[in-house]
Amino acid sequence: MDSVNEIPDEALISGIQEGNHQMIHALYKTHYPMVRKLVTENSGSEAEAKDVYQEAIIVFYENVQTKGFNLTCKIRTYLYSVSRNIWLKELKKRLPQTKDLNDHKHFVDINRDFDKHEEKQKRLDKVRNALEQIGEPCNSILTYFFYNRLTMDEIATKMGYTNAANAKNQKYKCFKRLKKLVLKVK
Amino acid sequence: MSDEHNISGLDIEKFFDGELSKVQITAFEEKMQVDALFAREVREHRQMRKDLRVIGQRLMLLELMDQFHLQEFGTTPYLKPKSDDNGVDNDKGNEESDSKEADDTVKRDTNRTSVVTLRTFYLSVGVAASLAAIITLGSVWVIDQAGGDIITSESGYQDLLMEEEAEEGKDTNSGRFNRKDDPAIMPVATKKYVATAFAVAKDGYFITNNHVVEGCTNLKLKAKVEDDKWIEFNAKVILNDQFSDLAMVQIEDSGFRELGVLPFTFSSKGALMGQDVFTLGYPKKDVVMEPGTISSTTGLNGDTTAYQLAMSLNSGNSGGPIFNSKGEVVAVVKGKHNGKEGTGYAVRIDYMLELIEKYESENSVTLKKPKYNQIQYKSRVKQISHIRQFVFLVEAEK
Repeated sequence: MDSVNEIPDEALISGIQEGNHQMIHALYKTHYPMVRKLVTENSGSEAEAKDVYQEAIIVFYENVQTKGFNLTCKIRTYLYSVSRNIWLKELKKRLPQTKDLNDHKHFVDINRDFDKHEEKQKRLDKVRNALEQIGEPCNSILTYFFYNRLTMDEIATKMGYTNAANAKNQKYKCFKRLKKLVLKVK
Repeated sequence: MSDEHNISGLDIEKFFDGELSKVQITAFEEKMQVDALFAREVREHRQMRKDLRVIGQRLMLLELMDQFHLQEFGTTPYLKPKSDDNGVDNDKGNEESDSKEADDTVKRDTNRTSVVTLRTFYLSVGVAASLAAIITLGSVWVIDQAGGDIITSESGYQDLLMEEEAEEGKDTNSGRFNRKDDPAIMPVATKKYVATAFAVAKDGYFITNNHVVEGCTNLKLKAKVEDDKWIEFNAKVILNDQFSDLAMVQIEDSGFRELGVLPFTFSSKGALMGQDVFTLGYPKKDVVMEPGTISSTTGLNGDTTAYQLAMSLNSGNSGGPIFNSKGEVVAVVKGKHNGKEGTGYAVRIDYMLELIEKYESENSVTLKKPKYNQIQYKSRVKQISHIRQFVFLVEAEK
């Protein structure tokens, strides 16, 4: 059970870059206890620890996928640093008098990554909200295409269009509508 | 906006899909060079395409991580760990202790042997459920439907509440549906009625029928987790509505922490006549899927609070969720047409949403309702494997 703890960072990173689920699994299981400890020792619940940790993994995952990704510390330290940023921000929101966390591990400054993540999050929320408002058939067409990455042929079959060209035309219109909605959403 | 090749807003998506001809691509690129507004639009478009992909990837990743979490730490996040403090406090806050955490976790898990045995179950299903204790239902499940005296509030209508054998001392009315308000058949011992409830928020809120829980003295929610193993939670009715025949029930159990993220959502649109649907419920000592069709958008005698279903429902199905093919809840089972096999009735989703809203506003709380439908594009078999953990058996003692 503990053998996966031995996977070196480099192997994990290249595995994750390839989208290898086993590597994501190994990564996930290795570092959660550390974040659980951080959050639960700083007035959080385990459910909250899980949310914080999963968000940190997402930050890491997406960073690993970007070109020119370069990690200057251990994955463990990175995940800890991102997690503490997330949790500290959440705590400050709840209790404005919160100054700092009670840390059990040293951390690095990842503010730049974190700010980028927050900015991105805002943008994504807008798109997601717009997608929720857009209605059918646009919601299905766009989610099939962009989330599930189905081909237009598959989408046409699934949604009962006579051919892919019709589905494509509908998709173009839907995308335009989505764009309008995104601009409207505050 | 229009030039000789008529490059328009619609063409941007075509451009990214590689659907433009060579001539059009040239025109497109030229337009980008001379038209700053257009160039900006293209950049925004590209960003949005990227964002959509990222959202999709995140949803996939979250689902994946939830699975890993269950496999590795599945026993802890949904349960209030009894040894939470011990488990966390035995670290001295230095790097060294850090490496021992994995071991600590294992130890903590094995302390709760009763729960650990469930891990295999989670592995196979891969969806969250919450566990307090495992109980074994040793007694036989007695369904006395043949001699069952049907609750007929309206002629032809039958509630789908199942009576379980009284715990002690069979009374003479055994096998009859007894209601407290009927003193003539009031049983001496309490009777247990069995039906279905489903989760509507991960913090332990459920919906079932009012007739299931009305007047109960003791309420339990149970789910089958292994062959003969069940988990059970104490629960209480927090809001009910006789008109629509719905009730909201909350788990009130010290062992309960939280359900996993609900994989399904509630349809705001309801259902249409002819739509294929299915329900999950407990007409027997196990969860059962029943397929059907919405056959009318009104219930018995023009009842506008309900749909009519072509679905073969049985006692125990009451309170079960009706799902459409996307895995959205569209209604809640409430009864069937007595003597007309294959005709059922279900409360429209609007009434359920209203009830939840009412509870939220009266108590100034926001329930952790599901936000994303994670099963929209899955096959029915997959959908059910994700949903079933959130459909519980209700046991109401009256």
